[in-house]
Order: sequence, then structure tokens, then C-alpha cells
Amino acid sequence: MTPLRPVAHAAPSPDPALLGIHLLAGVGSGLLLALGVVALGQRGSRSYLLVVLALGALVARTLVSGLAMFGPLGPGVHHFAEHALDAMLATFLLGAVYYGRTTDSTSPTEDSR
Amino acid sequence: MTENDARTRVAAHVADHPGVYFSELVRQTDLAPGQVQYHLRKLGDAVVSREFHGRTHYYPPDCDAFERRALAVLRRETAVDIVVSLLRHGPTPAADTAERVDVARSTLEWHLDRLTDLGVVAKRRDERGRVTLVLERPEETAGLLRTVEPSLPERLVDRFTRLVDRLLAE
Repeated sequence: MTPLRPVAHAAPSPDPALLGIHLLAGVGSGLLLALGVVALGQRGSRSYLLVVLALGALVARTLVSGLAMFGPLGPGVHHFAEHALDAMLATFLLGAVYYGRTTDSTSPTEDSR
Repeated sequence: MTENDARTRVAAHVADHPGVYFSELVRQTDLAPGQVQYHLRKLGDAVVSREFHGRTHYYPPDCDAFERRALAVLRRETAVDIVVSLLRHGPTPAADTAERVDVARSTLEWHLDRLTDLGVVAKRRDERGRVTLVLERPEETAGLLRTVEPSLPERLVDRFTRLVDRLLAE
């Protein structure tokens, strides 16, 4: 088996394209998280909390890979953290979907037709 | 910018955007939050503030009580969509309104809580016991629709909740 080449996205000196993509991902996911936090403030339901946590994991993904790009995080930790965050993101979203049902049934079902 | 200019600008923005939030006032007038607060205090009766559902709204003094409540709730795009649907179709059962406005039932109920609490929409039961949504003051409400222009962040938050509610309701 050929040994894996050192992972390009963990190079200590980042190339501009990669940096640009990270900035884009950071700004995009940060904006989404901000929207999620304001929406959670309005609704205050468990589903919205889980959506915010999932968006937090998305932001953390960019943060972790940014840290790896500039050195302080080794490729092994980076790789593990990214996949752990993926797992968390999926779990939070599944939880949000699960509780989505309960949130919906608390709203008055007054017009029984 | 002199102090007078700043004060005029705050008053003018409130007059043009009745029901504006504090944060929006800060963003649109290019003043610091402390300055806006100071000028609002100095403006005294020239600007009226009211709190609805935990948010403070600012109004010119010529807004009556109904206008203040309606303008507060009509800052949300979906609330406007619900009101427009009721204006167009007249009294409508809640389920049909959700379908016409194309929102999840939970989204509709969340906005209806506010619309009914502020006296813009009423829930009436028809002879078959169904809940029908009725506008309390259709003409006045229709006249106010043109006054409100939600800002981009407000619109995005509104659309975000619409999307999430719909995804979670499936």
C-alpha cells in the first residue's frame, strides 16, 4: 500500500486559494450561525437549539482546519477533529428532526376538521 | 456632524420608519448606540417608544395605539404575507392560510400568536367549530403595509425560521 502523502490541506504555509476558501467558509458558516442564534432567541425550542449546535459544529470545522493550516494542530488531530465534528453535526441535525415533531404538536391544533 | 444634525437624523429616521428597532436605528443612522440613546432621550415626546414581545420599537408621536401595535408585528415578512393573504381572500381557516402562504403550521401559529396578541388578526370559530382567521381592521392594516420595509437581516432571520420549520415539520 502506498503511504499517504502529507495532506496538502495541512501544509504549514497556506496557499492563497486555500486561505480564500477558508475565509469564505468561515464567513458563510458564521452568518448562518448568527441567523440560527437570532432564530433560537425567537423560538427557544429544543429543535432550534440543536440546529444552532449543528451550525456551531460547521463553524468549528473551519476553525479546526484553519488552525491546522497555520500549524498549531497536527494532521492527525486535524483529521480526527474534522470527522468528529461531522459526526456531531449529523447527530445534532437528527436530534433537531426528532424533536421537530414534538415542537409541532405543541402548537394548538384548534381547527379539527 | 453637529449634535443637532444627529438628533434630526434620528428623528427623521423614526418618522420615515415607524416601529423601527433600536439596533436598526443605530445601523441606519451611522451613530454609536450611546449617541442614539442620548438623542432619543433628548428628543422627548418627539419620539415614542413601546415594547412588544421583548423588543422596543420607536414611533413618531402621530401613530395611534393600533398603528403602533400593527407596525411592530408587520416588521416580519411572514406576518405581512399572512395579512396580505387575509386581505386578498377574506376570513380563511388557519390550515388554508398556512397552505396559501406556503409555511409550516408551526410558523403560522408562531406569527398568529403575535398577530392576535397585538389585535391585528382575530381567531373566530365558524358554525362548524373551525378556527377562521379574520383581520380586525382590514382597511387600516392595508394602509400600513406600505409603511413597513423590513431590513435585510430581519428578512433573513424570518426566512431562516420558515425554512427550518418546514424542514422539521416534514
